[in-house]
Amino acid sequence: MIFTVIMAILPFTAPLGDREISFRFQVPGGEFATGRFEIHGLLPGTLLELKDKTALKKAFFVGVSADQPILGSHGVKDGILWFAPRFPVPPKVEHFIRFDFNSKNGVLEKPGNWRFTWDQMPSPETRVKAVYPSAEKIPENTLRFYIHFSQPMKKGQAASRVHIRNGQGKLLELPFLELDEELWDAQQTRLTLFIDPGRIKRGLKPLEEEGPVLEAGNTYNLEVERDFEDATGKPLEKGWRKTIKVGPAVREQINPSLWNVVPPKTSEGFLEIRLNKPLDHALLQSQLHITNRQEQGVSGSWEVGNFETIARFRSKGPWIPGQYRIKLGWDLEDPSGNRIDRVFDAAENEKPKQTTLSLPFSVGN
Amino acid sequence: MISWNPCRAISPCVLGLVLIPLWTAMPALAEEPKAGKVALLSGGPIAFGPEGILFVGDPKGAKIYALATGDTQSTSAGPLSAEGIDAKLASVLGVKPAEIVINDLAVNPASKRIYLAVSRGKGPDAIPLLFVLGENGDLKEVSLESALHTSIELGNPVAAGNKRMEAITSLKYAKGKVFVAGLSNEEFASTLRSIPYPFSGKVASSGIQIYHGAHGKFETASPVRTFTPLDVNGKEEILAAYTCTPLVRIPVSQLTDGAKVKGTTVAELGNRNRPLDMVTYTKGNKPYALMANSARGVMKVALEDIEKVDAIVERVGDKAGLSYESIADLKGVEHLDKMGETHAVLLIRTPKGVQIQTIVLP
Repeated sequence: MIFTVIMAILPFTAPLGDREISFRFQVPGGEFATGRFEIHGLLPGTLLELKDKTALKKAFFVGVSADQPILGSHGVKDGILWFAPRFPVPPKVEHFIRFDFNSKNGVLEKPGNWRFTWDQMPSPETRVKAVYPSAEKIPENTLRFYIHFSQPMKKGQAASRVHIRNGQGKLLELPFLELDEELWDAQQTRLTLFIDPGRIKRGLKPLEEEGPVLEAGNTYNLEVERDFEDATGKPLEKGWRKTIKVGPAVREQINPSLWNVVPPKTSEGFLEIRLNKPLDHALLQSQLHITNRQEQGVSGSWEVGNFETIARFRSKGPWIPGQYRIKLGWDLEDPSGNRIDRVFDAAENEKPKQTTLSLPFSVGN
Repeated sequence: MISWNPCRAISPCVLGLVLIPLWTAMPALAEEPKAGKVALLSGGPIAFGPEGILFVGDPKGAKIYALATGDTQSTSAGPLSAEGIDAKLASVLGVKPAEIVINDLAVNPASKRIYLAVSRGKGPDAIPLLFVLGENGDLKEVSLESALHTSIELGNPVAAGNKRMEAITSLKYAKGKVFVAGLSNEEFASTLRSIPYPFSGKVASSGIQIYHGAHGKFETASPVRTFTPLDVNGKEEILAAYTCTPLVRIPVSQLTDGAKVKGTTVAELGNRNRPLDMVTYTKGNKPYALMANSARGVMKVALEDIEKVDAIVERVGDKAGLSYESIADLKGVEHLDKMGETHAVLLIRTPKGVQIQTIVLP
């Protein structure tokens, strides 16, 4: 929902002897983005001649530059000339409106020139809502970060507006993997950033030559610039910074047999999984599934907390006493990309340990 | 009591019983283009086929559209230099130039006209559009409202999450087939699809494994970034470029449905580099590839020794295999395509904006 207000409409009318033609920006349903441009007060003879589409397009110009009209459709109805832009009218973009008509039949109509801009009513400021991993101390081989924003954002800014600074305040050069397509969710509120795997995987040249991006024992600042624009072009409420301490690399498979599963205590209660170490925030919510004894999926929602070491599942309906299972997807990873079946940078000859892929629990009467 | 038998009541049902076995025994029929709305969800890579057919990749929709543009008359398009392309698009679309993204450029070999795949906006509601550049530098929209077209769905694209835009990374046409590179949801995520055109519903999807010499590893997860069909002594191949920057040969004969194909790495063009677009050409009877990339300008790679060069199967230092030269005076090139056999069209980003320029192939 966009709240709107007109910032500038200059001038709104053009005098024509004792008669005036005027410009209006007509806003159906209060949505400025879907508004249309209208000219009122023209003579019946003018309107008759402008039923010819070519003449109408020539006489009535709407553009964001001096001479190129924007795409849209023209028409004449109920004594009004209208122009409906094909695409939403964006805020903060100046529109030039001109009426300039040379009648074949000698109808006298003076030209008119107007400008129009609209701006959004101050909407809630966009901010960084959360960053994962959320722990203060993360492993040296942390593979990915998620940055959650409170509103949809614009693509194409991640490389220039997200930084890591070392303890001496120096910006790290290219800390994140450069990608052709930035990794956003469909709503463009969650940005995924990868540390270059070449500087994480053992045995690769970049790691051997340049070392890891984040070094164990050091402290860094992860920063999001205030100028990171949201989808409407607005900067963030304020710049964002998080201090991260870096601990030793984690190179072990996820071992679900070390998790503590606490079944729901009542039919309205939640299932709680206490993990032995933090797992990936997004994958915890997409890779764990609950099934009942008949192998049917139980619908509900996941919540992840305590620095990604607790996952809680709330069933949509009440729990029915009986046996259940937590099914684990193979794509589950920890923040360093380690999986149930293998360590992120396992060499070809390192044999993965067999691990369990589902955990039973029961709900009592 | 009389029971109602739908097969007695509806004659096509009876016909169907007879016809279905016949249809299944026949080869898949090619679709005829029909007029209708081309409902693009995103407008990714584009490429031309014969007779003015424009192939448009839609990564969000996981579809390839084939538009019959009707642009089949040859024009006398000569060398061209058009500036302020982003500003022109912005003024047609009613936004600021910063809101314009040009996703790809393709030259129609039938008319030599230049087509652009454009996004209006960078937010989640960005609108995909196609434009054609006129001889005088004017940009005209290619209408998607009632366009003659056919389309085909790509099965098993990468899930609709943050990697979805990589479902299609590059797309080219050669000898009756559309080749599509991108990510699938299969075990070998990097996928090359070979789709006969006219579309008949058939898509042969192959997982691609390559040896990445700079990483010293076999890789199957990263997609081909850009590629070009290539004729190596009468054999059809794909020359594919990857991030960071292996150049790989893939035989077209092995691209059968469900195949897991191992490419042959013939060059490592250096670290921290993303290939952006690539064409191949012949000059002075010698074959070359011209590749735009993020870190090293435009590279001209000599392909003469492509069959002689040792495949890279062990870890290498920065560069190895086929040699290249950087074309020093070409900077900021983001997309390129061939115009005839002697020229290339470049889309160049400068501090002043986006320009389109024709050059003689170097």
